[in-house]
Amino acid sequence: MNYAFLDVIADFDPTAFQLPASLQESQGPPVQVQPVAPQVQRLAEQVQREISRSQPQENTQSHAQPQANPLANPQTSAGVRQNLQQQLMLSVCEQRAEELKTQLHKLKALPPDCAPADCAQALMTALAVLQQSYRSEFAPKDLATMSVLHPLLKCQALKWDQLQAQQWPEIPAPEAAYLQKLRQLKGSLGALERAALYQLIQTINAAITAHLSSAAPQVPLPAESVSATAEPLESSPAALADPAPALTEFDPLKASREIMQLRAKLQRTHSASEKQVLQQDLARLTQAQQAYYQQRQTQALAKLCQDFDADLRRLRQPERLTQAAFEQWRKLRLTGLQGLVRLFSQPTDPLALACFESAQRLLARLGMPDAHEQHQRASQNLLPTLAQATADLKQWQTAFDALFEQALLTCAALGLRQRSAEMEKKLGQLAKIQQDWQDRQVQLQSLESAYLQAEPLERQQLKQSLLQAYAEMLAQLPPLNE
Amino acid sequence: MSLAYPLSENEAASLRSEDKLQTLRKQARSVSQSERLPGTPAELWPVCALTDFLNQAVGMQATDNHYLTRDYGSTWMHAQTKNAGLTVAYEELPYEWEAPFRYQVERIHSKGPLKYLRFGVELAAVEADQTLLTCCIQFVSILPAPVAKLMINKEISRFMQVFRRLATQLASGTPALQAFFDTSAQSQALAADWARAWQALLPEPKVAAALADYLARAPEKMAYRLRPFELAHAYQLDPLEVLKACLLMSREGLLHLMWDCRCPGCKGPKESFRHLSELKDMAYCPTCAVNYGLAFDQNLELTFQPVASVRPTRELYFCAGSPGNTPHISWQQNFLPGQQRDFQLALTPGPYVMRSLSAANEQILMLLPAGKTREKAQNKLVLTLQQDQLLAQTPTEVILLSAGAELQIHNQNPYEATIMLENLQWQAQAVTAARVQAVQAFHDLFPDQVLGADEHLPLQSQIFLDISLLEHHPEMDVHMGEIQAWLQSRVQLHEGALLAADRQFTGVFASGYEALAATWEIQQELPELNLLYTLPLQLGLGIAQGPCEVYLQAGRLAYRGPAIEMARAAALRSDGRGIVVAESLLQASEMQDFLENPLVQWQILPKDSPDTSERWILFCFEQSLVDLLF
Repeated sequence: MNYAFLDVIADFDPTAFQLPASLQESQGPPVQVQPVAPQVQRLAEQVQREISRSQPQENTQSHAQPQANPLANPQTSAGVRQNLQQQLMLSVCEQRAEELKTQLHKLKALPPDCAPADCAQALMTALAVLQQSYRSEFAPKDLATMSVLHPLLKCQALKWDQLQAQQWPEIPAPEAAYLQKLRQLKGSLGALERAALYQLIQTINAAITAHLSSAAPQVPLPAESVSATAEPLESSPAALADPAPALTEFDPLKASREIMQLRAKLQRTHSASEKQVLQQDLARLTQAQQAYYQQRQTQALAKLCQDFDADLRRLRQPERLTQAAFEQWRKLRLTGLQGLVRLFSQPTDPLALACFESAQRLLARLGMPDAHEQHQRASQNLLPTLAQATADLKQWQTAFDALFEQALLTCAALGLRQRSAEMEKKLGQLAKIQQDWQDRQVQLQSLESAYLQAEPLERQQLKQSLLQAYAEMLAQLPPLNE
Repeated sequence: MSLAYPLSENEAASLRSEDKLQTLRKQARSVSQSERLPGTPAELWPVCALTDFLNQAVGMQATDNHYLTRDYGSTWMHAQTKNAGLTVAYEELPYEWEAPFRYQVERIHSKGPLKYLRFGVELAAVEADQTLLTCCIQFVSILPAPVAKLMINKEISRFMQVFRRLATQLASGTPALQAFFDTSAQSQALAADWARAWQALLPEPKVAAALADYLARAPEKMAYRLRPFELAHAYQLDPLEVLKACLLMSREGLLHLMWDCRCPGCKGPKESFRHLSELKDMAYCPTCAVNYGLAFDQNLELTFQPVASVRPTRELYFCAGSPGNTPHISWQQNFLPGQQRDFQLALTPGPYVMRSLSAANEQILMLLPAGKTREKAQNKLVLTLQQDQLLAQTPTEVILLSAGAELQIHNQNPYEATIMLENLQWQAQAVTAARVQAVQAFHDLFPDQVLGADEHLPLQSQIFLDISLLEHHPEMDVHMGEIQAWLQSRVQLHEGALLAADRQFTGVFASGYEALAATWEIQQELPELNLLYTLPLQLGLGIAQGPCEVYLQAGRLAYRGPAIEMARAAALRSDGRGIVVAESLLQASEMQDFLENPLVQWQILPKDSPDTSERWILFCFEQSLVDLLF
């Protein structure tokens, strides 16, 4: 890999680029050169010292100052310099990737029905951070990278200019080609940074496209957004973040890494006070992770409620059960079960529980047996009942599949519009089995609720068995594309 | 250290004979002083047993030590020094001690005003946090008794004064390691200056301050050999941060690397080198009179030494066989030919290895905590030293002993023997050569620190992560550099180092948790990277631990042997589905984090060969849940 941007003169000339006039003229947000992070600064100084060391000079330093290593030979020095330059490059790229990913998460967290003004504000912030990320002493300067990055940044600047002018932005035509080049780029961007940049621009474009039809030609920008971005940007990306960052910029992968690093550090640290600090950090991160998971879980459960609703309405209309509908239903069933597995693997919060209970109420309204009574009965002997329910479900699944195939064949023979006596009988049996499935489903959900309401100690004992039961149940379901 | 023994074998044997010794013991006069000191015996022991520094603190001069190898596995030691201008020379018997309660040493003099000296210190717990320390000297002198007694009393008073000062220091919160540090304003000002200067070099100001304090104020012998993990323990710092700081300071020309070949018996660094290429696979310990092999992960330790312009240091001995010099030994006793002795063990509960330089075998003891009983735990252990075998009355692999168990040992040989109990905590503070290989900074800063061309050293156990590119296509070649950079950044974020060779990447780790954490992150980030590539990057990921050997390949250190082969086989078995890990690595409690992670499903893979006892676990990420959450 060529990390030449660190110690060679820039070979990139922005004026040599033949871009459309609109892009060439686009200014983007006024940004300042970003100060370098301390660890990057330290690495850069280290590289500089290695370079100085390789040049002969009179040693006038005091005895506690760094000195030339008498053991080092020129070949070793060159190797060390190259290694340190690689470390510097990794740090710089990592830092930029983190900044881009933060914006990516914030954009992804925008609700699908968010107001154009909110969307425009989020886009302006993301675009500003994107520009800011490439204004530092260690920003890439090599021709290979900049021949792709420069036009892409210009494209983003144009979008910002349009938003600033209270117009809903357009995606510049040349951007797609440069995005494709970004995917293939062999330059001085790190792989993750390249992926984050690619995803961020894609997500910006998706947000623009999603609001294109609904957005008014004049984007009503909030006053604070305009004033915030009209001034030169502060160096820290935190300055660009929302006043209440909360979970919108939470990076689950980064958090997962930091949690693992903290746990490893806890194992090797001797200091009691240091351990206490680490444990506090760990607790804070774990709490944030749980909150994020629960937020996602709540969203998933809300979606699950809708799915069940649609699912059951579809099931109550047997004449519409085509093969495609059946596959769709089966897929929904799988998704629902997987969501439930997820639910059981994480500590629950009141929101998730409320959502889950609303799903149960929805089912009850649709003519299901009383869920509460089921809880009571199931809690008497939870595990054997669950095992029995799983076995029954499997048996029902086999019977249902066979019967459904038979019903479809019969329908094909008789025609869907001919309601022969035989078909009515088959469909009657089918309806009975569907009812049976729904009963089983509710029964299982009741067992799960009992689990959720159980004491923590009891939960620990039940958790693994429940997950195992679900895993078995999922394993027994036939594949989607069978 | 001179190799020529100053006395003839007969002269030394005569001085050390049982008859002579018993006679001197009977003739000896005793002088002692006792004092109550703050702190428990366990708190005071680490400083009160550092006889090397104690002798220096009371004004004694360094000794010149000579060793004479005995063919039955023992070594005789003869020391020479000056005392009040007079030459003093003596045969020294090995120290005897029982940490943290007592130690003693006996010397039979061949030159000087004394004929015999036994120096002993006892620490007895009184009340909750006080210790009655008794310092006792028994002696036979050629001087008139009152004169000798007066001199000895003065000597003990000087020791008591040092003990008092040390106990007060510890009680005021000074760590044991710093008890003998220079407290002068000059050295403290120097430490402050260095700390300021080094903060620009090191990422952690606390680490810079600790290193400056240590190098400016530690006694010369300690400054001569800086053990990073020991320093981290004393200054309550992250051991890895201290190690990385030492590496960086070495590159900056402030410290030297020093590879110590530690004797497996006395753990002393009997041979030391500046460069790995100078090592040979065998070293010699004159104290234990043994040739010993080097193992990369056992007794080859990386320590650091300040360069002369920072602080000139020499390795001086004021006392050779001190318990403070061998902190890995908790208990040591001497046995005359045919002698039987009884003891009551009052050691800290835990595992111990009983060994003797005269015995070819060893016994593993597990001392149970008070109040804890086990069916097979013994209240009395009877052992015999017979020829070169240390035999238990009822042989078992691990001897379980109840707290306070009695120990009876009979030396049936016609020669003297020393028997010791080694604890296993000390080794944890060693930065072995294998440990430092798992630090990326070492590879970055010292690419030339490799073994000689024809050398290869064994490792008893090493953890490897094998990363194999399962499918190769030309697009990958174009992006191989950035893929390697990504893998390296992930491996080093979790405190490992990446070795790369021809589309084959090997992560070297010191902990199974960190190896799996790095792999976890690689596996989770892979889909993000694959957004960039036309054909997805398919990685085989396998983690294994086991024996192997390290050698030089194409100018770099490389590994070969069972562990690396197992990791490679595991990576291939993962087949792009997830991560394959040896089950033995998942036994540690912290690994539950991974086993209970809801994002993955794990399964035990069927054995690939009936010969292998190792089971393999495949971790697969539940993509639907990952999509749901990320």
